Amino acid sequence: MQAVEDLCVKFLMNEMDPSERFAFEEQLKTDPNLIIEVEMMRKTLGQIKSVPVLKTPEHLTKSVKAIARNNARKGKVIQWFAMPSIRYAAMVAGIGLAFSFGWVLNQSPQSENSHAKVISLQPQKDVASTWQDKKDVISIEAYNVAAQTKADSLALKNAKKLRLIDEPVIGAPYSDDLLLTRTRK
Amino acid sequence: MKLFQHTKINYNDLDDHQLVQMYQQKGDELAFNQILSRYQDKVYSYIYSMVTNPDVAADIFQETFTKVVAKLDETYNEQGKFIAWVMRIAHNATIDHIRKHRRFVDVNAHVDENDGTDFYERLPDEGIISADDQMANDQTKTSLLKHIANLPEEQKQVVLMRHYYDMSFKEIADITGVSINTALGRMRYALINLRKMFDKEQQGDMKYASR
Repeated sequence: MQAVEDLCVKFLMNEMDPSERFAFEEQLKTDPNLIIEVEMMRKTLGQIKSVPVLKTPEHLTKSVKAIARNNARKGKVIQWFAMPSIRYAAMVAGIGLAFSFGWVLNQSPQSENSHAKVISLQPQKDVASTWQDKKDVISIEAYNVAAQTKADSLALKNAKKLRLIDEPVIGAPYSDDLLLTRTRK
Repeated sequence: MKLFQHTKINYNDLDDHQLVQMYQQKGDELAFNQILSRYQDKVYSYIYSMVTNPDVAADIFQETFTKVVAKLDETYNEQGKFIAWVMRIAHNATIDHIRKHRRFVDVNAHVDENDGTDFYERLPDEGIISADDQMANDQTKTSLLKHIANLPEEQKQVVLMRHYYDMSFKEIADITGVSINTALGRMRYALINLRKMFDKEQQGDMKYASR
């Protein structure tokens, strides 16, 4: 019986091979019980067909569209970088940046003092400069041979400003002049 | 001289695969919206009929399409039907929910305490027809949905997948992880059970009318 019912379902739902269908139709012509069974199932299937399709609430549609939009934007950014021209441009820019950074580092004075390195990264208007490190040691440095004379004159000028303090006052505010507070190295 | 010529895309004319490709490759939101509008009502109806709770149906619907968007690049196989793939996700999410929360879905849940109507009776009207026809139509649909909801889970799945997605038994078998014969058998039992329910209902109506 189950086999017959399965055949009825397959027949009504167009799931039969042409040969199987032909054989079933031939059987239907001679078997009234089979016709009754098929018609009863057809009626039930017809009733199922009237099951309504519900309308999706508006807020759900909007929410799903927003999810899809966000995902599409993410995808677009990735795709933008995946474009060959953009990829090559980014590569060239990266190499250029790395090269310029390396060049700047090579141009900086070789000093063990980290502060000096920081200063050297600044644009060098003068080829000789005066600077003071964290231990209050004043340095006058020439970055090339031609600037040596200028560095010497700066050193002389600054040395003239030095004056001996007999009684140093702890916590006294700095004056415009340089104060020699300890022995030169 | 015309330098740029913009051709307006008619999304209605595109098939599911073309729309999916446009969304995947160009991030075309309109393509996704088109495909969503094609299937959203059926997906929602399936989920709703399975869980019989509007809030849960909304959550599962959202979860389904979030996964659709996220997994489009990974798991969607262009050889298969798009809706079958979406349906598999919706089905798994629905079954997960049912398994987690309760063994059986209570079709009498969400009864409005004020007017005593359940969720089937509060389903939205589909069009304006005469009041008598509408009433008869509503009653038929309401009792039909109740009967379907009363079917065992496996039989209900087969009936709804066939009805909403016109799936073949092979597709239903693939999605539900059973053989074609089992899917066919479930449909047979569903039809027999529904017929019994309709007969019982009809007998009840006749008894009521003869009083």
